[in-house]
Order: sequence, then C-alpha cells, then structure tokens
Amino acid sequence: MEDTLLNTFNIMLKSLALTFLGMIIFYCLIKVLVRLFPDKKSTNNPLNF
Amino acid sequence: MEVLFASIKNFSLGNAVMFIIGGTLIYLAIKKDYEPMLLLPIGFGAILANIPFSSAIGEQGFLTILYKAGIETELFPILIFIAIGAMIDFGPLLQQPFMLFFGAAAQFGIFFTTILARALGFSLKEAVSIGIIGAADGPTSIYVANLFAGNLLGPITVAAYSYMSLVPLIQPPVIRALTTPEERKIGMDLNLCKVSKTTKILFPIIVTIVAGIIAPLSVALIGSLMFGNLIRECGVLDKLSKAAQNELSNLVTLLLGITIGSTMVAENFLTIKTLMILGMGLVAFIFDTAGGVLFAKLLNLFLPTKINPMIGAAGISAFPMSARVIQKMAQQENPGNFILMQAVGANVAGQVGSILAGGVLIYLVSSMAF
Repeated sequence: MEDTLLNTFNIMLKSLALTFLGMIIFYCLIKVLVRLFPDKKSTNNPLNF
Repeated sequence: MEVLFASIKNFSLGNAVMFIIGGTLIYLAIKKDYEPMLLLPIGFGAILANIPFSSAIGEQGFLTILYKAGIETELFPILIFIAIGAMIDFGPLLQQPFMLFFGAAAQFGIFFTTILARALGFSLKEAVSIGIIGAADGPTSIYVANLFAGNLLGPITVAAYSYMSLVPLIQPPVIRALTTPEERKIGMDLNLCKVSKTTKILFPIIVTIVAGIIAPLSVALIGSLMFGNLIRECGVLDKLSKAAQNELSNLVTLLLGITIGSTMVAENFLTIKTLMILGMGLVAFIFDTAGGVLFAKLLNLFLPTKINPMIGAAGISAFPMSARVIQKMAQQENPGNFILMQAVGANVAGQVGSILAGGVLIYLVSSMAF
C-alpha cells in the first residue's frame, strides 16, 4: 500500500471506527458485569463514588 | 584549560537557545505550576544535553543509558501506566457506561491532526506520532512516538504535557463557541446506582482480554493500566497499590522527564518541524474538545433526556483536570448545577479511549507495508 494522503484518511477512519467498536464492546461488557454482580448494599447516594 | 576553551569554542547559538527553552520549562513548572513533575526534569534534561561535550549524554552518559533502558524499550511509559491504573477509580465510569462513547468521540483530535500532519508533508508514522498528542495522555504519546518517530520524541512530549497543563485555558473557549448558555445549563441525573466490588475487580481483567483481542498491540498499554487498577481494587494489595501510586509513579516520572529532556539536543530540536508539532498539538486538543462536544450535541438530537454537551469535552484523557474545568463552567452558568460525576466518568472513559485509540493506530500502521 502506498503512503498517500488518501490511505492516511482511510487508516484514520478505520481507527475511529475500531475505537468506537471497542467502546461499544466495553459498554456491553460493563452492562453485563453490573447486571451479573449487582451491589447488594446499593444506597443511591449521588455523592458517594 | 584546553577542555575549557574547546567547550566555549563549541558553544553554539543553538545551545544558548536550548538553555533558554530549558529555563522556560523550569520557569513554567515552578512559577506557573504547569505539570511541574514533568516539565522541570525535561527542562533540566534539555540543559544537560546542550552543554558541549556533556558527559550526561553520549555513549557512556547516564541519560543515554536511561534512554536506552527506559524509552527505547518502552519500559518507562508502561511503568507509568501501572501507576496511573492504581490511581484511577473506574467507579464513575462503571456507574455510567454510556460515558465511554464520549471517551471515543473526544479522540477525534488524534485523527484530524494526523491527517493534517500528513497533508503538511510528514510521513504516515510521523503524522500518527504527532496526532497522538491528541490522546491528551503523556505516556501514550511517548509510547507511540518512540515506536514510530523517535526523532520527534522531544517536541511531541513537550507539546503533550504542555497542552495537558493548559486544558483550563484551551477547553473553555472551544466549548463556549460550540454551545449555547442554555445547553451549558442542562442538569444531569444524580441518581446513580453503586457498583459492586466484584464488578470493579472483574472489569480490568476482562477489559485487558477484550482489548487484547481487538488490538493485540494495545495489550502492553491497556494491560499495564488495568494491572495497576486490579492492584487497587482487589483489596488485598494495599501496600503495592500505594507503592504504585506514589513511589513507582514519582520515580519513573522523574527519570522519564530528565531522559526525554536529554533528547532535546539543539540540532534536532531547533527545526521548523518542532514549531509545526507545537502548533498541531494545540490543534489536536482543540479538535478533541470539539469532537466530544459535537458528539454530545448529535446525541441530543435523538435522546429524550438531554445531556449537557460539555460532558463530551471531558472525554479527553487529561484526568482529572478536564472534569474540573467542565464542572466549573457548569456552575458558572448555573451555580446549582452539579455534573462533576458525569464529567469524571467521561474523563476516565477518555483514559481508556486514548489508550485504545493508540493501540488501534499502532496495530493499523504497523500492519501497513510502506
């Protein structure tokens, strides 16, 4: 592959897409973890994080 | 006597300029409190490296030895990541996983700046190294720059750390330009559930495995960050966690700074490329902020409950400075508006996003055969 501006643009688009894909996967992962292992003494205290 | 005259004879204008630059970095660190832990050692390292016939650099110089041991091998950035991992509480992110998307959107500066650098004539590897300043994360910038463009390591590191310390000056005007006062007044839901300890322990382990599968070359970066976080969250390694947060972090930062400074030799540093890199670093931070804000505004077109678009700007990795800036701006518009938790969540997501983006770029560029 040639080192051209068009290819750079192509790589950047792929990177951006893969970064978002990674975040979607992490999002699903957290949702599953939180559902599987809920906090038993949840207090809903907004200042306690 | 001959040595003295040889030193004076070899002292160039470039050396003098580098002394001034080194002195300026030390001044900014001490007087302005701009990332003092990094900028002071970098400034002093630059002075050490620009004294003619300096024994600090060269084949036997201790800075060269440190460079080969800690930078060429990528060991220092990795150790710093363990320390950062031990410092980060992923709780706010686990409570609001939606914030992850801002952590991705606010990496937009990396991609825009890389294309800009490429258009300005830098090679792809150099352009990616410059673009990664937009990760707003010093160790990631050092890691990628050393891998792809070791000759640009000095200016890239100086730009990355300088702009990180200037986040309170860079972000507010960009955010104001892209949002209305009404948007900045939007409040966020404070009713967040707590996250169990099991989730906090499993998160770093599973993220490492998943990230490793998506981008194997990111394992060193994300794995070390998550290892540090696992030490913090497991609850049985308090001594190690504190050691990582304090001793390890301080020692490696000290050595990293002075070693990076030693790469700032006049003939390599005083070039038009350095000026361009400093300019593009600023562009990267501006577009990171804009990317995050605009993404939040885009989501607001579809969401029934609106998000304060400033949260998007906290998706850059400059932790925790960016979150503080956002909270301060929210309270300037409405003193009763408390969005710090969401901003911290987005900020932590930015830390993950910057490492992921760095790993993805390393993977994609390394797999190109130019």
